[in-house]
Amino acid sequence: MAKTELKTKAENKTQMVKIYIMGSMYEVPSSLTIMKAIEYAGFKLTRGSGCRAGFCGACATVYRKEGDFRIYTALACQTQVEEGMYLAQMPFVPANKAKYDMETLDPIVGTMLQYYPEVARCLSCNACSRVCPQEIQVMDYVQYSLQGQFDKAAAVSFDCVQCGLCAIRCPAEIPQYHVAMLARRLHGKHNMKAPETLEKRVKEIEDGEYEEGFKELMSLPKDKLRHKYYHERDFIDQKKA
Amino acid sequence: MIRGYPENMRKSIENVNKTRAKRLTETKADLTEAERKEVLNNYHPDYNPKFKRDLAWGPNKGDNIPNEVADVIEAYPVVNPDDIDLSKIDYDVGVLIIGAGGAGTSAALWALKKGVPADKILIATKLRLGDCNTVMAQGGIQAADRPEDSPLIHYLDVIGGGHFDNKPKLAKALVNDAPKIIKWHKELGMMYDQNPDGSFVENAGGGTSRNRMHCSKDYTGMEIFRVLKDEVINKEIPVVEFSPAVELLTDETGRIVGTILYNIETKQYFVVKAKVTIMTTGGFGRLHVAGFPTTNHYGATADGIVMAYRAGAKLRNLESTQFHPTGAAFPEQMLGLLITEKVRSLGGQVLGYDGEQICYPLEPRDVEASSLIKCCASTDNYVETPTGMRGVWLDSPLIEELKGKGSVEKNLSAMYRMMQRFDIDISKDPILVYPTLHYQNGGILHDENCYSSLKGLLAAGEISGGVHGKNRLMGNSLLEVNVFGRRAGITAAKEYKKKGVKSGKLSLDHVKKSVESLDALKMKEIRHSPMILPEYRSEAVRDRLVKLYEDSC
Amino acid sequence: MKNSYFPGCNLKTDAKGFEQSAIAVSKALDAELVEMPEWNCCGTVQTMTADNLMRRIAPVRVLSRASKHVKELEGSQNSVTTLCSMCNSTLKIVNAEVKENPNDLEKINFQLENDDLVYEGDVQVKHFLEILRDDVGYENIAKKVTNPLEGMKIASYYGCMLLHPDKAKIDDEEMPTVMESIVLSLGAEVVDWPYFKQCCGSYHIVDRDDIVNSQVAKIIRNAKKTGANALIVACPLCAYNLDNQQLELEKQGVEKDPIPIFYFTQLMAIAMGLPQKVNHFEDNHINPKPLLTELGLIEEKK
Repeated sequence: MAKTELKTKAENKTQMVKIYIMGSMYEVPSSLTIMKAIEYAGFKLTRGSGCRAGFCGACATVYRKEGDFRIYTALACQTQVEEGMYLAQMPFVPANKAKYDMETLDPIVGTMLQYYPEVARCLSCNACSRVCPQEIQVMDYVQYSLQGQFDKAAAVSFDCVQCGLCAIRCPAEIPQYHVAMLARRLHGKHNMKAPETLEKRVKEIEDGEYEEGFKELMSLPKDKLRHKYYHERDFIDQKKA
Repeated sequence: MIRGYPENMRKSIENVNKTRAKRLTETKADLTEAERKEVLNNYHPDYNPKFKRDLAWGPNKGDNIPNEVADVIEAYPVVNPDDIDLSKIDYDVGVLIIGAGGAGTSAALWALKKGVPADKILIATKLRLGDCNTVMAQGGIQAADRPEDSPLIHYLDVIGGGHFDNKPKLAKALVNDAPKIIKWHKELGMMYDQNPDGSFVENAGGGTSRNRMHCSKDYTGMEIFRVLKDEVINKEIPVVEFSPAVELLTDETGRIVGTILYNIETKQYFVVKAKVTIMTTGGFGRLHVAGFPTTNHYGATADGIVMAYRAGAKLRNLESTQFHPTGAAFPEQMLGLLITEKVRSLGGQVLGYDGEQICYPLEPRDVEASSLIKCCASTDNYVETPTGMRGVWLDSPLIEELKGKGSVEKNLSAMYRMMQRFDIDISKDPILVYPTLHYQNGGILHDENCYSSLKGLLAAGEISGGVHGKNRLMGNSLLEVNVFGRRAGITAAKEYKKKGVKSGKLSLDHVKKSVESLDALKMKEIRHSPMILPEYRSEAVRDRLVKLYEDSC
Repeated sequence: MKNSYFPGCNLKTDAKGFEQSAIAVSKALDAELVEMPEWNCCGTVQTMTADNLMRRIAPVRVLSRASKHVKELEGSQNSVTTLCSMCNSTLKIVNAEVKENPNDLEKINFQLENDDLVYEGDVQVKHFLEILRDDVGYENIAKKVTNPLEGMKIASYYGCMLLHPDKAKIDDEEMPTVMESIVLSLGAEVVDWPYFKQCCGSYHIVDRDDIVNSQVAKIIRNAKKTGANALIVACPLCAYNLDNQQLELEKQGVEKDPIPIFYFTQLMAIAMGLPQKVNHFEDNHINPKPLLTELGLIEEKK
């Protein structure tokens, strides 16, 4: 198919919508994500664009729609534009992260209150959960952290991309996403101990148990290695025809 | 639109639903060596001469590498050496780390652990601490820690997957350090998925003969990175953000002695003098090799390769690019984004329009990707989207049958959420996929202690070449950034403590010399590099889609 | 019978023995406490400011979640049960006030609607003591006693929260009988003492422990003087103050021979012969085991 033909096809299909970027109106194709629409409008992003796939939290966006009093939030790279969006990027959120030495911390509620005493100020208003673009029940994990139930706090907060919108909305001024980080690390370190097999393998490696095997494998000529790879490997965990 | 898919795609989904029961017990044979060769040669972009050319200058002159990569290497510097005052040093540090992804942060933490004071370390990064491919890695990290597995089996998988072109010592370091890395991560408090009996959840990966993929749902890279980041902040290691390095500095002996940073917000240059420099700037996905969309983060533009090459560093395996078999092909908004290999680890199969399996779903990535391209390019058994994009089905609902109801949302929550935003429920409907540019297999040549061919310069992570040969296996990149990041940190600490290492006068003479070499090429097109950030403004947004279709199908 | 149970924060940390013994006792008496699937802090003292509706969101959210839970919970009555007397007081007061002021409730409901919650003022708040008195009955408790607490002389400590103010009280503020009746049905001796609702010092423990110490000294001296060899409480904060500060007073040389502090549910668990681990006595500051062993109520492992 020729390029011109394709372009026509794409353009014929292009519906345009009006959006407002920091108050200024732009017309953009309706099929774009917010991030691509901002670029389409002519902005070269330095802030507010990181992984472009919904994992890094750089592109937190706050918006309102015409005729609707509510505030909406989104990750710009994961959300399609809509007619009449008033967009503001939130590429940075000021929120203090406590500094701590993991080696010295106990997985108890006192640790949480020592580093983030503000969790006790939670009003349970749930504004945090409502702005979370990952739809995490933020307030619930703050409450779990306050109750010292770090297993639950870790599980509920796990999908957090640390965009920080919760911390901006919080009337109690809690930096929720940092609280979650501490809760997860306490849980991951103390309540999810590695199995003994790991320690055993590390010791075997340190004792040089595999050195002979490596020496042999590494000195094999390529054809022998090829044969080993294609004909001698067994797949004990997987079904294969 | 019916639950996220247009009617004509729904027709094909009916085929998928019909064959599912039969496919529950159906296993497809993996390809023989000859079959692999056939599909790679005919359909993998690496093997297509039209996407490549011989590099025209420098230490790797004559290497046949992707055009887009050659474009940034055969390009004039953005910095005019005469514009920079090198007598005014802004940062004088022991260990300079360029790049704040998984490798950079691991290197910083291990340099600190091995005795370099925090204030003698500097991490410089183009965007934020953590705008990197590490946070985007979903499926897992390999480590042979089960009794029925061993580093030797892991080694053979790695070498064979890389078409026996890996540097053996690097492959050994990778697999042998793996359990140590998991142990370190657990000490830091990372949450790897565990079974009720306390053992790790370990899945299969493409080309692995044992299940050794450790994971944290499908947020593995994010979990690893956010803990490393938390630790870097706890330890008060200085980080300069929004300040990419634009050139390295050399002294009269050719030793690397620092860098020039460019603050992309204030447009100022800063001179950094360093005893040791670690290059951890990652890969080249945003160059869109062969016109493909990419899974990579915004800043993956091969800057480190360009700078190091200008300073004389040798490269390796840069001819080899990894196309991930399963990038999203629909909806248009998600085009090219990663659909983790874990979908196939958990049992997901790859299907054509007719709902039948195309190939064994866990071939090494290059073989799998080529098989899918073959299906879309040379058969009519593909699915077309409303914008003309072609793709094949990845049967995620099968996982619900294999692993129980709710297992998709539980184990693939990132994927589930991403598609849910576009009204697609991947526990009920399959995902349309097409290969996408994922990883730079080659890069700066280094040894197992991360020494590059240049004095004073270490390299670790995706920027390096030789670990994976011509093809990387799933779960070995998260492993690589940690293994070699750690090793680079340890080596840097050793170098930092060495007495009597003299660094001469800071200079950009090597940049001037590179300009002379480039002049001699008499290039028709004058380009500048490093690219720093790709250009996506205006029409470029839409054109990419068209170009992809043209070039790859 | 099942009861929707709101734990409150302390029951998951410092007062595990209270929660777990209460749950075990509730099951044995067929009045099972079933934890609400999602709950948040009751709001505690913050809610005392009557003109600040923002502060009422937390308790109203608990009540609305409870109202959801009781509808889902088979065999449940239309009430939410608490163990901590502070939570009980907060939830009861707010419940009464929003029922009296529908306008306030409407404004608070605006804040909950996005979470698919609404509170219609339809749930009752009960302390577990009320469940035991009104729904289970003292005789039924007595029937389950296999290990009568002979030799225990118990001073029942109510503190401020269970008897005041009117909106929150669970018993007569001058002559409460619920704890004493339970003590009797467990086969222990009741001590009649005037300090049953003397304030323990409460939150002053955070910055003015001298105030707490002087209160605790008064309460404990009075209990001992009237012949008590143990105190029972129904509030984690009272428990902490009375328990830990006795040791503090001992350290300071002000008071000696501390007497153990029990949650009333712990004594019930012992009298009913339930497994000892539910009591978490390792969390008590004054070890209660010597007394219990001496009286032959538990067997101490050698």
